[in-house]
Amino acid sequence: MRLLLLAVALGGAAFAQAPAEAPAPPVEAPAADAAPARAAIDPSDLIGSPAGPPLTGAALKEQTHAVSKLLRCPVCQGLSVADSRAESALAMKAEVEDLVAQGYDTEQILLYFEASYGEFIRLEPKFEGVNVLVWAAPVLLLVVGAGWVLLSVRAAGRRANPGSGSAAAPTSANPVPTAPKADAPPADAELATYLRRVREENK
Amino acid sequence: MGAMLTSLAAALTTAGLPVDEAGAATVLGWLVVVLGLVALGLALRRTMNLKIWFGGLALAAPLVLVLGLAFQNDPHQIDSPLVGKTAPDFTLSPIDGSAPVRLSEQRGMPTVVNFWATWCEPCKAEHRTLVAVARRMEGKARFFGVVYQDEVAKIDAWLDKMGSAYPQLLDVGSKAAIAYGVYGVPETYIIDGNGVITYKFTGPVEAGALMQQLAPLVGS
Repeated sequence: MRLLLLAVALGGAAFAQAPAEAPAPPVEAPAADAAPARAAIDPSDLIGSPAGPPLTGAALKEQTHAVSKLLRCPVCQGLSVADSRAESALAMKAEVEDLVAQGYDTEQILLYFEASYGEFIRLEPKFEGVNVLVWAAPVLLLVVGAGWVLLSVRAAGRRANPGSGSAAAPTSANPVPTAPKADAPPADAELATYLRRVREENK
Repeated sequence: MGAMLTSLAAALTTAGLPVDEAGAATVLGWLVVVLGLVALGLALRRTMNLKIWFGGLALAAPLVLVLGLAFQNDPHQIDSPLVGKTAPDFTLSPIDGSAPVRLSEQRGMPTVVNFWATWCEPCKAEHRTLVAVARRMEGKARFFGVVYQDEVAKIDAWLDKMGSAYPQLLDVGSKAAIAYGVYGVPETYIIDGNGVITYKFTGPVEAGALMQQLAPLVGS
């Protein structure tokens, strides 16, 4: 039983460590001879004006990376935009950098992409509705499980040390005592019944 | 049976669990299995430890239900938040070098915007469908192809082989793809005469479905 639990625990740990699948179909660089595209959603239409100051240099790179970590690469399996080398992810990262440079904060940028891609573009589910379960369930399970373990341990402790009657043999909580010794019935009633049955079978 | 599933699906959706008929069938099947296991436990209660039986059931049953429902969905089939909103504007250049096309100027008749690439296998079959429908709807609907993450030379070669019936625009830097929330190719957006997106196809379009979405918009 213990081996089984150990195997399950190791398997779970190994699974959690497994890197996410590599992304992307083969992609080519866009042609340099085409006129630059202007698609775009003017961010102020979607998310208003920047919440913070424009960033540059190291702060820009850091914040870009931080926000990219929260966005899902749309063509990958569970990779963030920061980690993926897919062209879609690189294009998104460029757009994140553009928005960060203008001074937009993390939540604004997430909303910007959410407007086009939907909530799935966020790597972490929002803490609302059914998603509350995703966040709350592990904590709940831990608390409930710990509580159960504690109660079981206490109950087992109580069974091993009954409050009254030390006349009973200390082995009363253990399985079958050796037949020749116990002529007087042990204090544990269940055990007494069992013992009686065994003796009758063995007659 | 079908009617029962439909009403069950509707009831569950309003109760906060959005499911379709397949989902309702899953929930029903799961309910039958759980009740069966409860009955089995009660029937065998003398020989079984009911605490373990029901405890295990209580832990496993919600998990099985959630997984059973969730695995029915393809995570890439996402409802686009853009449906019902004005199509994001873009100005892209056709690969044949003619004047840039601005989407917001294409009002007055329904527009079909198809995102594709030469490295996309399903786009080949879809292209024939789009060309056929584009020719059929000539004068009644506009078609635009938006090619992203690709090279002009490759696109030219591809179109020489596959034929062309409408302008192919190059999305430089995937900006249009990001604006439209493109999760992969092919994806096709149906835009009405007022510039509002009415439908998004994820995956290759089929002629019947395309006509079904396009026909009501003609004359809008």
